[in-house]
Amino acid sequence: MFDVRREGVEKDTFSPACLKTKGSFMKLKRFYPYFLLAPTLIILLGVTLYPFIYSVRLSFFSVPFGRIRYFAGLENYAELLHDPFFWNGIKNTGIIGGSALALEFFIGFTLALLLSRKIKLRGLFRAVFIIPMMLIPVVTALIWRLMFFPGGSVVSDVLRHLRLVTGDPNWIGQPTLARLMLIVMDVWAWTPFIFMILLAGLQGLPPEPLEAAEVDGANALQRFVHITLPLLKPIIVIALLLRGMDAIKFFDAVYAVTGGGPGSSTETISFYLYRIGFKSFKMGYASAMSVIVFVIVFVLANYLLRKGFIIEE
Amino acid sequence: MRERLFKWGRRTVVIVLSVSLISIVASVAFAKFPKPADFIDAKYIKEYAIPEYFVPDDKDWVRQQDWDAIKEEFAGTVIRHASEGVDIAAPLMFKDMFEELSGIKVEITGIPADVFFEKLMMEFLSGTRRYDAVEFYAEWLGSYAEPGFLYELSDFLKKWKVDIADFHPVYWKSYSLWDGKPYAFAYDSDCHLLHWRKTLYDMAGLAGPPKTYDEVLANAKKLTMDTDGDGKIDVYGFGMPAGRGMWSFYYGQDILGAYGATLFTSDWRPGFNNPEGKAALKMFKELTEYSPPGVTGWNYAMCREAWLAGKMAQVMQWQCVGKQAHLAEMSRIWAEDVRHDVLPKGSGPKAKVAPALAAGSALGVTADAKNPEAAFLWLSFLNSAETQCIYSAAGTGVEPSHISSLTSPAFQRANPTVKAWLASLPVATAIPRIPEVNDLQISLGIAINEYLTGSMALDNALEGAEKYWDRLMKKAGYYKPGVKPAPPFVVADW
Repeated sequence: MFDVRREGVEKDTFSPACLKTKGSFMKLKRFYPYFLLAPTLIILLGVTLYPFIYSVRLSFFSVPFGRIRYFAGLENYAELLHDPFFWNGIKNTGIIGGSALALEFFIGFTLALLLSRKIKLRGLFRAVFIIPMMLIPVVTALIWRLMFFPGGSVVSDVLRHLRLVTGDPNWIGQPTLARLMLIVMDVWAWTPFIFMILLAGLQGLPPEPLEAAEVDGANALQRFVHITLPLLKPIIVIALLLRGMDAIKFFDAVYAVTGGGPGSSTETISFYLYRIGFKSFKMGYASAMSVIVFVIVFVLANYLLRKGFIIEE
Repeated sequence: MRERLFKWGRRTVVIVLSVSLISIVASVAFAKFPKPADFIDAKYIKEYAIPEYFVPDDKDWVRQQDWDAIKEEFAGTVIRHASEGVDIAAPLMFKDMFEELSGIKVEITGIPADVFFEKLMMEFLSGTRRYDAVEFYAEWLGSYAEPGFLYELSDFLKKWKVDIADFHPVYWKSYSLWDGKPYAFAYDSDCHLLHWRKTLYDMAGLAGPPKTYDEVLANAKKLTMDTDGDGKIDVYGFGMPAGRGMWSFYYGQDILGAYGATLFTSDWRPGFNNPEGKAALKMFKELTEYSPPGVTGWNYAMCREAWLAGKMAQVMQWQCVGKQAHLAEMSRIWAEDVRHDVLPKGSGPKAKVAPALAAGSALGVTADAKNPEAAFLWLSFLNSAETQCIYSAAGTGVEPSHISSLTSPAFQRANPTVKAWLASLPVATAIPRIPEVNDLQISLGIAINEYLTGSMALDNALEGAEKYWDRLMKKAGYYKPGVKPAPPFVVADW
């Protein structure tokens, strides 16, 4: 029933006819949120859910050059198991993305801890630390590419002056160095992201437990391990989750700087996916791979979220 | 009043018609055909003694046409041409002249080389009908013709009397024909050559040209030197694009062929994982040791820049890069004695001279072109014998395919690579034009690059690539009974 008082309107403004109109209006009002959400939902379904379902469907077909040739069942998935490039992509994603994520977390957390205290020029430092994140990723990659360019590398020049290297290291042509270069680039570009999230988390922590622990005689390390870290756990999970998903999708720097080389030493899973999809045009196979990547991300995200939130609840 | 208006109207019509008639007569009388002097720097016209035309009238398709009739039929038509980014200079040079002669408007779009394949494929698959004429690497002929993305040109070639016999048979077979039918013009007709700096050879007391890869390597060791005495190496003995994927494949193909390996046996089995293939790749790796740092990440442009900057004494590259070494505007070594020769032989019992026809480009009309005939006319214009000589001699890097162009004495003076190039063609090799070519090239190129960069042992790299090729070919149905045998490695035998 339409409740005039609940709606906060004056009684005498409503005749029975008017109330009837208002009644139908309120029926419409029940659907109002759906009307508002509809355009967004339609777009989202159109650009995410439909391609995803289509991609899952394609993964069961042989689709050379974009044309469905035959129903392949699990053939594409079985082929993936024997594809050395696929496993190499997984390995490279683990090495490059994992190392970068670990370093970003370590450096970002350290910086966040330092700048959560009241120190001089704190605002300036905070602003400076987030500059790399404000640059367009491909621009960052191209700048680093120039800095590591064989035969004219600024990084090599600096390292030589510091007597850390001799000669001219072949950053792009040597597998270990190429991986290291990508890790350094990613750490430089994305540590600020972790730093910002953790800094916000640290500043949002309630001061009482820390003060109580201090009164009880806990030292700084004990306070950090037993109070700060557990309280910050959900924030850490969010930061790792977001960057972890990015690490699995590690593509732009590979594309712009190494092209997956030398050999296959920097070909990450997402770069291999692109190569199979858009250079070889094996759409069924690429779809199967993307489904696998999705499953990996999904499982990982779920695991982290459970660790971070559900157990806490 | 009405009579006066009618009279004025009639006068206006007469004036307009007269002006149009005069313009048409004038345009026919002063019709401009492509002439070297209009496009090539005067100093080169003088230096190479280039006459009014490179080729005689009867060999140039453009000068054989009735452009007046063409204009009448096609004026106002618009065609859209997709060009590879680095090759765009050539069509841009002739766009205005063609528009003036034919009345057909040409819109040219450049597509960067690294996304060229996928961009065209996406356009074809999604049926956008965005382009009427497309340039594409000749290896991709099967990838585009087999699914029906290209227009079969037989009727147009006949109707417009294009002299097919004047196309060099090696380019005609490998750039134009697919399944025995013409689908494209040979546009940037490429071949790998050995370019070497005789000035440096003389300085090092070496005699050239090297005839085998062993000689190239031995010379490379001596030519890797510090020329200005500052204690740093400033000239490397050798260079070639040896980056991941295509680049390692292209130059791997040269050396594999020279040692007697092939890409395919006649039953479509991989033909490179054998003693010849291993010897070839060992040589490839040794050569990279006397090349500038980073060579195993190089593409065409990086190698070209290093060569033109004088960083290498010998380079294995396309013929255009050799020609550009002589142009003062492009090269730091233009004043030196730079020579060009056929690629060397390998060693061992099956050794031979086997340069690769790699990554040259063809021009085709799209199957769903809005104006296929107009697009054909534009491509015929762009591929006419005279036009080809001009854009090559101007240093665009786009090279001719007409016999009359290649044998023109004036063109041979303007392009000092031609003799070695013509000598290479009868023994030149190419990968079969099958749809799977891109995947095959990239996978073998990665395997070669894995070995060159030390990421993988030679045996593992070749074995991995062999298995990948086998799996790919099996899945594509090449091992089923009744499949036509693979064409020979040497194009002249196709």
